[in-house]
Amino acid sequence: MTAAAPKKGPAVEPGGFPLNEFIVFSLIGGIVVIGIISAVIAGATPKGILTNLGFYVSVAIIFSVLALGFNLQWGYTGLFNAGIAGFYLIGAYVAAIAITSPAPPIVVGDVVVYPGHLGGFSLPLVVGVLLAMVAAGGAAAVVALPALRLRADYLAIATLALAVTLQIVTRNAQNITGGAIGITSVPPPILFQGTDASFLNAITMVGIGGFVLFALLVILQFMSESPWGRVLRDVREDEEATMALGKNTFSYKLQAFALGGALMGLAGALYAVTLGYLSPESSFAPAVTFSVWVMVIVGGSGNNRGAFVGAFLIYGMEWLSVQVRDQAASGLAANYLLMSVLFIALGVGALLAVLAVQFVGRRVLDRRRAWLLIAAILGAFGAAPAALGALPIGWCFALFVLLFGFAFVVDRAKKSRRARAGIYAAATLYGVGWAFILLQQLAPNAVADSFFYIRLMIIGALLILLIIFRPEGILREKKRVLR
Amino acid sequence: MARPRSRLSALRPTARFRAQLARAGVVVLVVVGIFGTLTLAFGISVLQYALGGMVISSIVIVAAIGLTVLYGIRGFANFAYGDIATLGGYVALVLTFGGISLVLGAIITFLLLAAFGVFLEFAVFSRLEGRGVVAPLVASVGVGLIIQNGIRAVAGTQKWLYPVTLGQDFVIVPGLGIHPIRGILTLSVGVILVVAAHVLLKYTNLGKAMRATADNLELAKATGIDTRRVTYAAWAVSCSFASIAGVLLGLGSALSPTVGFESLLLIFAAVIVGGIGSPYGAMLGGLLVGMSQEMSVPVLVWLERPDVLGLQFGANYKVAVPFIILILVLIFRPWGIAGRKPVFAPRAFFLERITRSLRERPVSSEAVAADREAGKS
Repeated sequence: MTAAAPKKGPAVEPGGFPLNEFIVFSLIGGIVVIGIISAVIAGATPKGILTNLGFYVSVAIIFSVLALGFNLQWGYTGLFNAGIAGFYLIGAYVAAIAITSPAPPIVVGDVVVYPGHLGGFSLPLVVGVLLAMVAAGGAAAVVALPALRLRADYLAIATLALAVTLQIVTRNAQNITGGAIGITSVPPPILFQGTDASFLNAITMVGIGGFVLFALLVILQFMSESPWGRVLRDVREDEEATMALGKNTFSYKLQAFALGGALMGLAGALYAVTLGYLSPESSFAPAVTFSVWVMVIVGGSGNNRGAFVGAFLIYGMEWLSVQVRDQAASGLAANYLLMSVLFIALGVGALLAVLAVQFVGRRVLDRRRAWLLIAAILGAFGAAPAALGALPIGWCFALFVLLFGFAFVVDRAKKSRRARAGIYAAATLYGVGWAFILLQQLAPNAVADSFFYIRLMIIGALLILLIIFRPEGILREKKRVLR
Repeated sequence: MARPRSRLSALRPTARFRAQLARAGVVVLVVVGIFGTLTLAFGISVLQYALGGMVISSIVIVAAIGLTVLYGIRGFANFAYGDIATLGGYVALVLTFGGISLVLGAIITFLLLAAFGVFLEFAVFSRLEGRGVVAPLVASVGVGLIIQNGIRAVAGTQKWLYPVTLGQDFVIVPGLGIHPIRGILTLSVGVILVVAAHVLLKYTNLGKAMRATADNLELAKATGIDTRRVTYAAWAVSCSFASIAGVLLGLGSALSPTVGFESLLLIFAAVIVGGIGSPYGAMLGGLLVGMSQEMSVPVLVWLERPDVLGLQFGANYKVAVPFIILILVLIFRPWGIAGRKPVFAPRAFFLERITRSLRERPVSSEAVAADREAGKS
């Protein structure tokens, strides 16, 4: 292909891969790289780093399963669920109660140290997972029954109400759920002994989660291509027309919603096993629901691959922010500064990528150019901290402003919306790094706390920007043409 | 021969008003009767709970009016509404710390939040017009996340109190008291805002335009109403009412970053119970939801007794009551208790389907064939 490649060419050239996928996977790669580098700076052992990475991957898998469930409900069928956290909670608690051993209340003197919880049936893991799926799917069906025949916002309000109420009930129903303390000792699938236990545990969970996710992706892809999946998409596009074709749309909507709920229950069960303990406070807060929305919208709704990619990307952000917060909380100002520098490096890398793409100037990269881009990004990772170490910080900032201005001029000249978005993303990353450095200078103690909230604010801003400017997500749904 | 008309006939109430008066009298009698019986049966504490319910209801009603006005005109569920209320509470807090009295601070907050609402529509939601109900809902969640966590990052997660002296409960009868600020002030602010909303909606051109737009956007446009201006006005009204609700919530207990979000469910329940887009329905719904939440407390406390159910922390379950009401209304009257049944009403799921299947004859292929024959001849 020459530079005069037609703009509306084939999506995938032989021997190349589409740009959007490239951007997404390089971002996920960047997250992993930053995580590893920060762990190395903090002086972690290789096994410790692998354990931490394993934790990232297994929780990202759990979020992928949640996102797949929501994608089945909203992406395919158009049913908007605002209570993902509720179904997730049901799955987690049902599974935990089913598979733990009995936990009687612990009372020291007059003080109840641990109120105990219902059950302790010591059932096998598979049974617990199935029970969790049935319970969450059943709850989804029950909530959906009155709300499905109404407009989409009624369903959203009803499910939000369920999630909020369930969280409060869980916090208070001590003799069932253990109250605010929660369920403390959920057994892992395989019990390891010795010093390597946490490492082996993380690897097991990655294995189990990876298997589940792979199986789900295959099954859901098959289902969405089947006649059943076609009816779901028809319901989303035009319910009246689907009814006129003789389909019982209510039944299809109910099936899709209950199945999605069951998937969320499965995610909850995986969460209980992965973490080994449950408490109602943060894990099942409404913010979980909103994160899953961002994941599906970023990835591209109506697209299983998009849901999975979005989960890895957005949870990656969260994981990184926890890493940075831990660095900040550990009081090692130098580590913290380095983390900020890494963010700046990511920004510079993204900017370089955008510029490179601008000069390459086409939608589809061939393999050679892709490698060049990867080299450019990795080079930026190496070069930016080095430059920051050698030059005064003010000069670096001036340098970035120059670079940004240059990119802006290029962008204006080329009138490319994609490049503009990329430049803004790069500027955001760079800005985040700078904001951290400034915060560290101005209010060293505020950083650790405000970090978490700033992450949620970023998620909120992402929701608004995505829904306004790119509702179809990064990886858009495949266009289906009748032949 | 015409009857001589008395001079006062112009002031004689119309038949419709007399009927309304009679209906209102019956309602008042029934309510008084219920509370009288309950008080005789269980003691004065029932009235105390009822008073608490009235106070909560007045906050919920103020918030629900604001939410439902916006819901009716803009057509989407504003999930940021609770956080906008929290923002109002915190703005008033900052103003009072700046040395302004709380009343003046609340009025300034009222105006500031109105401007904030206009800004939100301008910056975010006007771009999502014509994109269905879900897109603006998602954007509103984004707005809510930014507000809530911005407050957390700036003001911290601790609870804040307004710098006002609260004083003691004002005792009416032994066992029945009302707090001068948390009770009387909240109730009177609620009444004032309800009256203000009534005057705005019934007696001003803007209010008429708002009702017309909520009823039918296209028709309102066709009659020459500037619906864009009405939309901005609805945002201003909605957010300013939210800010007052936020201040009242902060006065009622304390300000925390989630104080508005936690009452969002209550407000939505009130709006849906009253029928979406109907301010008068929202008043009724707010009263019903708030009262039933507070009045459920004695029942839940009774359930705590070991010989009854042995429920733990029963009173904390009162937040589940609006959820139950919401689900019941969604099942039986999705258009709200005060709303009219729409022409194309969604089919009620359980009862109507069962009764219809009993009433209708089963459709067999012979019957269809017979119908076709009848049509041909």
